[in-house]
Amino acid sequence: MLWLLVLLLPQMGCVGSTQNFLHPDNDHIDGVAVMKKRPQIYYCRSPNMEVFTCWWHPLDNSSESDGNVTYSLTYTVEKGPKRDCPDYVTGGPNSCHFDSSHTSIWTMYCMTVDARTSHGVFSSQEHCLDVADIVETEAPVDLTYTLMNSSEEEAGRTALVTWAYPNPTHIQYGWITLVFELQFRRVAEPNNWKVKRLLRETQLELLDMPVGEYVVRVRCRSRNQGIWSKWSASLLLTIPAKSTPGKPLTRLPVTISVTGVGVVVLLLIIFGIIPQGKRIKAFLLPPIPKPHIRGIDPLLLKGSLDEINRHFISFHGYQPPSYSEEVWDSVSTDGNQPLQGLPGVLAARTEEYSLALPPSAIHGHPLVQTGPSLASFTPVPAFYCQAPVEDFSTAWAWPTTNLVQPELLAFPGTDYSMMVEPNQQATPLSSNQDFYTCVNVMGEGGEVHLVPCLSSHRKSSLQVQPDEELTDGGLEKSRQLFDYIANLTAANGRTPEETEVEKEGSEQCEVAVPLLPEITSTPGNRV
Amino acid sequence: MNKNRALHGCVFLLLWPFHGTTESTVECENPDSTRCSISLEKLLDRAIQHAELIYLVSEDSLSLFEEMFIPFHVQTPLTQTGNVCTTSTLSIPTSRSEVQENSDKWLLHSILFLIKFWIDPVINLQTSLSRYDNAPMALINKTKWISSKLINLEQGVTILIQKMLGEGAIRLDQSNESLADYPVHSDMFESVLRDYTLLACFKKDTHKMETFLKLLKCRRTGGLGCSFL
Repeated sequence: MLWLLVLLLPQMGCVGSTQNFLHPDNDHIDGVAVMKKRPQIYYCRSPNMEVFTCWWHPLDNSSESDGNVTYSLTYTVEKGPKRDCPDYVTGGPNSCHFDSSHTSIWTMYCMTVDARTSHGVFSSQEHCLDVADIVETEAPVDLTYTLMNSSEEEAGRTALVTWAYPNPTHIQYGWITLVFELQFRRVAEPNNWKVKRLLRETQLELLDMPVGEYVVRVRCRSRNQGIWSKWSASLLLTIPAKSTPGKPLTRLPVTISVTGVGVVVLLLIIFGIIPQGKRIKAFLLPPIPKPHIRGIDPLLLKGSLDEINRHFISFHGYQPPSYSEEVWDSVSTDGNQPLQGLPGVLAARTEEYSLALPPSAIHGHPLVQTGPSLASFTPVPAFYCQAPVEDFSTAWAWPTTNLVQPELLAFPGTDYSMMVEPNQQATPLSSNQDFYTCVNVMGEGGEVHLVPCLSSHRKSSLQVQPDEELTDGGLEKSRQLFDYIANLTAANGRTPEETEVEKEGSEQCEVAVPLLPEITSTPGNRV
Repeated sequence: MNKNRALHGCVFLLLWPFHGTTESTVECENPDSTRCSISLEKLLDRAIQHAELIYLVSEDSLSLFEEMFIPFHVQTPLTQTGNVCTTSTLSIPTSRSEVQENSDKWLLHSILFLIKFWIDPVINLQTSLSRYDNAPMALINKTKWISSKLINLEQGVTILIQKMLGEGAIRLDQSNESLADYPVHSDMFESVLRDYTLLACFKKDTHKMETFLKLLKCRRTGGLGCSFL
């Protein structure tokens, strides 16, 4: 066990001695290595990996030397020969300087210092070094700081600290790449250094520093090997207090502008959009049109004659009701064309009319008749009746108003005239008359000529027919039938028009056939 | 006995770290011992650092030269012609596959050859530049720096070869072509062209050196960045 310790002791001693090499100012006296009796190479440095210098401690002067001591440093480069120091002067006393031609970073240097005194030669311990490992650059220079603009969230200020490469000529072209280390502390706390390591750039941002005063220093080192440089000159960093009024002031304009914008928008809505509400609503939700047939105005349903005329004018043969004599067609008792209306067509036509003309019009108005000689007819549809209408041939209507005095009823366009006495049979007869139209003539294209239905007319017309076409017998019979009917209506006492209409209608429709043969038994096909 | 041995072992182990530290401080008691030499990895690192720097500086020098002396329309044709450089005719591995196939010995010899080849032309370049009227001082300084570092690198690679391949591997026939291929022209324009070509070729070759050295390192140690080589 003891031999083990003995073996390891020299190495421990070496550890102690290397401590001395790292801190040349430290005259650490180790019990194992006695440095005073021999010279000692204690400090070697290379500033840029191209040259280096070594210093040694001389012999103690307190010994019996008479001052005539010469020192020589010899070195070997790995396995090469022993060489002498090339330069004793440049580095100062007790130093050896190796210039670039004598410096090689590829080999190890081992050197010894010999002190020649009158008493003998004292050799120092051999000291070996690798040039790259003893590179100690100079400290960085130009350490300065600038305060950055503070933001709202930070409690403190940010400071940008910058420095410069030491002595540029030694580190030109990036021959030595440096890494930096920065330390800072508060002025009031001497030993509480905070460290920022391994900085590659010549600047650093200290973020969010609290208010106060700080001391900052920087040192550098070759990146791959070497020793840290000495510390740069210290820098005093002052963080000022922030101005507090800034905060509410910046908020106030923001709130004002926001409220202003809101008020403007509100006013816009009130005065701009709401008055146009209906239009906007119509634009967004267009109204759905009520169902109606294009071209027919609802007013027609109320019986406006003008509208009716306007719409029916296109029908062939339609004559708008008017009060002029020219309205009348050529109502000739002879030569009328036989009707060839088809019931179906009639029905279709009457359909239309039924839409346009309310029943009151049918009842209604019959005939116009205020003037003595005017007669007109209403284009009353014969929708009650789908009976064969071939037999109708006349196109005129009887006045229906009650006559108080006998009048001369004249039919324009014809050569008839008759005296209509009040309460005559003709009146009820005329009241019967017709509110229906029946098809007079069927044209080629399906056009129909509408004429008032003439069941009553037929009867009355029997009276006024020219005699040449009626046989006497026939005329007698029709006259009798006519009287019968007139009596019936007078007996009932109902509104002559209504009863007559109904009866006529029914008779016309149901009884028309039986009536007809009697009537048509007369020669001639009209009635 | 066993107890004693165990105690020995413990003490030895305890003191072992100190053994390691002494090695790093390079206590060279015996000059012939291997402890007194720098490790191979360190040497390779330094060689690579040299080569990188030389390449960067040569690139800077070339661009400086271009700015000063070469009109723009002439630049690209010159640099694009790949076979202008003399060294391209020599048997140096040029393609990646060639480089990967070849052994360390071949690589090292190629590097050394290149370095030796370029030492003299760079010196000649310095003299040529000094003869120009308006050569910038920065350019001249750079070329001086390059030549000094080239010599340095040559030493390093020589030592590398000695360490990696053994003592006797240094004997290499040096070709004396370098001077003959770059005659000195008295004509200004021709010498400018020659110098431009020289710088361009030098830049290419330094990049080759750097790549070879990195490849050597990767073969030995592996690590990041080695997959590209």
